[in-house]
Order: sequence, then C-alpha cells, then structure tokens
Amino acid sequence: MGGLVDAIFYVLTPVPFLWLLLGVSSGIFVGAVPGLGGGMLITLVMPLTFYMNSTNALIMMIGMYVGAVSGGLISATLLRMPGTPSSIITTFDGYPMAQKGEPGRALGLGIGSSLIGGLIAGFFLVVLSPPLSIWALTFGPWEYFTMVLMALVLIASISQGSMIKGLLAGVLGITAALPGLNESDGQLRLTFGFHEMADGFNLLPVLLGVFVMSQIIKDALNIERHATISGSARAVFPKFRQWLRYGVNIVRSGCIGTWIGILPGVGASISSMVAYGIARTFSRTPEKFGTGHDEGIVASESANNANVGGALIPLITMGIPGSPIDAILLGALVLHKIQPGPLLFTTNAPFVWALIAAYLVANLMMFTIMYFSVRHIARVIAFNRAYLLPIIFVFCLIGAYSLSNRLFDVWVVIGFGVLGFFLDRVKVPLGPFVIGYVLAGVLEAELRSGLQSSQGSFLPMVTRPIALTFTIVSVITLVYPFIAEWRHRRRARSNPDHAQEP
Amino acid sequence: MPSRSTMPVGDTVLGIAALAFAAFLFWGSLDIPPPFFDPLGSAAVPKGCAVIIGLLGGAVLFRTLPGLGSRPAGEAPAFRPRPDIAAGFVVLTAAYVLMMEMGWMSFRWSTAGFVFLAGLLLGGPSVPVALISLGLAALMGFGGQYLFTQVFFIDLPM
Repeated sequence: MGGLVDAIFYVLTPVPFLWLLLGVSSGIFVGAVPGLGGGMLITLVMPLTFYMNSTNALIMMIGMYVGAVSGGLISATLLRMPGTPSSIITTFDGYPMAQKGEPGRALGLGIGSSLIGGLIAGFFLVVLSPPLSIWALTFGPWEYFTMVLMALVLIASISQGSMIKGLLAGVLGITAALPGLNESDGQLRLTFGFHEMADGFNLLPVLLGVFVMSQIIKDALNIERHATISGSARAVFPKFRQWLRYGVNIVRSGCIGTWIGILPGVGASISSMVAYGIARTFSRTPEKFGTGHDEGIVASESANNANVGGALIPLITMGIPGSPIDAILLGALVLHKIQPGPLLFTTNAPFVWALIAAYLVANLMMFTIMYFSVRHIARVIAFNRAYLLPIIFVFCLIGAYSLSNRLFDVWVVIGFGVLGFFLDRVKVPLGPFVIGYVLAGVLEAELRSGLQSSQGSFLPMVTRPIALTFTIVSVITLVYPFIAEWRHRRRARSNPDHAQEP
Repeated sequence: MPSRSTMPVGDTVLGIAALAFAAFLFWGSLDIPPPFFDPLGSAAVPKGCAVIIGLLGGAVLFRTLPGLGSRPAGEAPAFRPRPDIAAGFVVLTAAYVLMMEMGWMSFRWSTAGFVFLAGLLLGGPSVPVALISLGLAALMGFGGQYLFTQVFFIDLPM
C-alpha cells in the first residue's frame, strides 16, 4: 500500500499532474463530440509521447481514457447522440430527462455516478492487481496460450453483432500481424516480394488506420448529420439523501462494470447494458425506465466508468487488454519499451502504482472538470466537423510517418482505414480485430514454446488445470450460442405464437 | 446468435471477400519453407488462419441464403449519408500521400492543398468555408512544417 501512497504523491506533483489534467480534459472533450472517441485520441497522441517520460505519457493516456468514457454522457444526454459507445444506454433516460426540462439534473446524476463507479473500480484495481500478478507468474506457455485464446473467443462472442463476425474480426486481426520476419525462426512470410513488408505492419499505423482513419471516413459519410443542443446544460446535483437512495444501485452497477471490465475484450457498453438491465429488474418502478428515470442514468454511468478500472486489471497484471482502448494502451507500453505482463509488478512496481494512482486521481479530476465546465463543453460539441477531419488526417500522417520516416506506413493507415470502414459497414466489430492484432505475437510465441516443451503435443491444454479451465470457458463460450439457438428453434417449432413474441 | 443475416447484401460481399482472402492467404503461405527445428514452423499459423477465415466466410455466406432477395428492415437515417464525399475524401488522402511519395510536392504545400480541398469537399463550396479552410491550410502547411521539423525534429518529406 506504501507504493500506492508514494504514487499518489508522485501524480500530484506539478508535471504529472498537468499531463493528467491535459489528458482528462482532452478526453472529456473528445468523448463528448459524437464521432470522436478515446481510442482515436490516444492513438493520435501516441507518436507525440515518444518525446515524453514513459510514466507521464501513460499517466496522460489513462487520463484520456477516463475522460473520454465520462465525456460521452454529455452528448448522450443533450443530443441523444452518445459521444462514445459506452454512453448508448445513458441516452435511454438521460435524453428524456433533458427533454422534460431537467438536463442539469441528468448531467449531475451522470457525473456523480461516473465518479463513484470509477472509484469502486479503483478499489478493486488496488486490491486485486498485486495478488493477480503474483498468480499470473505461475503461468506457463500453455496457460498464456489458452488465456489469449479465451480472450479472443470472449470478445468475439460478447461484442456487438454476431459471434461469427466477431470471430472473423479476431482472426483477421491475427492475420494482419503475421506478415514480415518471424522472429522465432528468422523466416520471412507473406511479404509477397515487397521489401517494405519485411518489418510487417507496424502497430501504430494499424491502430491509426482502424481507429482513426475508419472513423474519419465514417464521419465524412455522415457529414450532413447536424446536432442541436436542447436546454441549459449546467450540472445540478441531487441532495445527499437522494444519493443514499441510489446507493445500492450505484455500488451494484459499479461492481458489475468492474467485473465485466475484467473479462478480456468486453467493452464498457456491455457493462452499462447489463447494469441497466439488472437495475430495471430490481427496481420498484421498472416501468419508469426509458422515460427519464434517475436509476437508469445512475446504473449506466457508474457501470461504464467502473469498466475502465476493471479493464485495467488484466492489462496491468497479465498484459491482456480488457477492451479495445486497453489494446491501444498495451501498444503504447510496447512502443515505450515497457514489457507488459505479470513481471511488470516485480520489475517496475513504481510505474504500475503510478498508473493505478493516475486512474484514481483522474476520476476525481474528471468529476471536478465536468462539474464546472459541462455547460461550456456542451456549447462546442456541435461544431462543424468539416474543418476538423482533414487536420486529424494530417496528424495521422505525421504520427505514422515519424515512426520510421517512410510513407509506406501512411499507406498502411489509409489501407487499414478503408478496411476498418468496410468491416464497420457490414457490422463486423473492430474491437476483436484490434485485440487479435495486438495479441497475435503472444499467441503464436506461447503456442510455439508450449509445443516445444510438450514435443508437439496439444494435450497440456487439457491436462494442466489452469489451461483446462481457460479451454473449457472458451469451448462453452463458442458452443453455447449454438445450443441456445437450437433450443430457441425447437421451442419455436413446438409453439409458433410464442416464438414470434419479442 | 441470429440464425439469419439481417443485411444479406453486405454479408454476401463479406462472405465472398473472406473466402477470397482466405484463398489468397493460403496461397501466400505455400511459399513459406517447412520448419527446421520447431514443431510449428512459420507457415502453420497463416495456414490455420486461412482455414478459419474460409470457414467463417462460408458460415457468413450460408447465413445470407435464407434472406437473399428480401429487403432488410430498418429505420431511414435522419440525415442523408454522402458516400460520394466519403469516397472523395479517401481519394484526396491518397492523392495527398502520392504527391509526397513521388516527390512532386513537399509536406508544406501538399498539406496546405489537402487541408484546403478537403475543407471545401466536406464543408461545401462557399466563400466562408473557403476562407476558413484557407486559414487552416496555411496553419497546417506552414505552421505544421515548422512545428514538426523544428520542435519535434521529424524529417518530413521535402
């Protein structure tokens, strides 16, 4: 615990504090603007952080992550356009409440719940990270291989859309990481005679393409979508007694958000969806949900902010990203020459504690900034994006080019941007693609080590207890939807009227 | 998991593209030499991925069959999507990079031209849009050149 206290003091010193402030503020702004997002912001600034101290760079990115998830509630409440996917559920009750003439109350509820949800996740982050990283030290190659496999299957099955498309996205992401020199045996593969491909596709251009360029194209497609703000956006907080009334809902939703966040690859939107559903189930007034009900906003916002902290747990302790933005943070760690994984706690504990401290302080900072500036942010989020998109692309170009001074990387940005746009149009989720891409190296390396240690046998996947557990979870996750569909069809055949009900 | 595709045309394109890509990937993997010392080798993962992509592409295609010929139900958006502008923007970005790749224009001038033209494309041709875009073009082209070469020391294309 001494490590955490020291780290909090470090984060509160002027330089890290200012970076964190910059991160949280820019995150809130970008999160509030529909069409922009935290992933986009973090990927765009990543090349600029090469000139920074690694700890401060990651502190700023954590601030952006927290800010972006929180900022989404502003446009979700005032415009019914979620700034980030994690705020989709907030539109169900936030917007109707704003339409009833209480936008300030909706924003106050959202901001307060975001803070409490974030702090609940912070508690779990502090308590669970050290023992989990010690536990992860016992993992061998088969445990890692099966865990990464489980992460990919989980994200493919739980992310929005069909499981087949999620799996397809994950495997396409793995494939994108394959070209170039295979480090284990020195073989060049899938370069098709292009010498530029010998290094493969670099991480940053791929992330810029999938997250930023594809979004730019999407925004260009929807350039005629205009937004108008309704009502005054000054945050109004409910009284303390009312917060006590929401206590159970907030704590429950915060815990749900944290635990769903820990599951690899499952985003904040799923957390708020589950928390909202459970809040409605346990509510005394479920019929009010969707009409501008306090409990709906509280559940959604505390869960999506808690998800950020939950998702940081597997990233910090095992090097497994809990969400697509965590995959970008994982990439940032690698680009800053920091090896993520369980050893990080042993070899660089102050760094890990600094990240955890930054997360906690970022939540308090987010609350303060949003409380005092939400009405100002609300005024500017509906600006014309026609001027912003070309500038964002210029930053993409510089970010990709500066990596190794070659324009090939910029072509990679454009290529992956078009691919990401196409995948998005046909409802293939981009989260599994990015996580597959980031984890492909670990997946192949661990499989190779495992097979070498077992003389080419796959049996350790089922003979080692932890690996067996991960394998079983993967198989159940893969098979369950098919069983559920088969049961649904059987029920539909026996009772056609019942099957047509929503 | 839905048993039928909700967007038959898109899924048909996706399924065919996935099958074609799987075939291409498998063909590309055939050139990789067999392993020398480890049981896996460099070709195993690409071949495995090709097979899985092929199977998943086939599954996507199979799910579209019952829905082919029917129109997907869905709400019309409250605004008009502009595929022409999106495609124009992609072409403009490619032209921007090509200018520098071929050495026809420096970063400064190509960026200024790109920001100006992209602003007009996205904002519509009008005097206010042109003036704002011109200001931003000068800022990004000349200011950007100075910032990234003199402050961040990036060796931009000249």
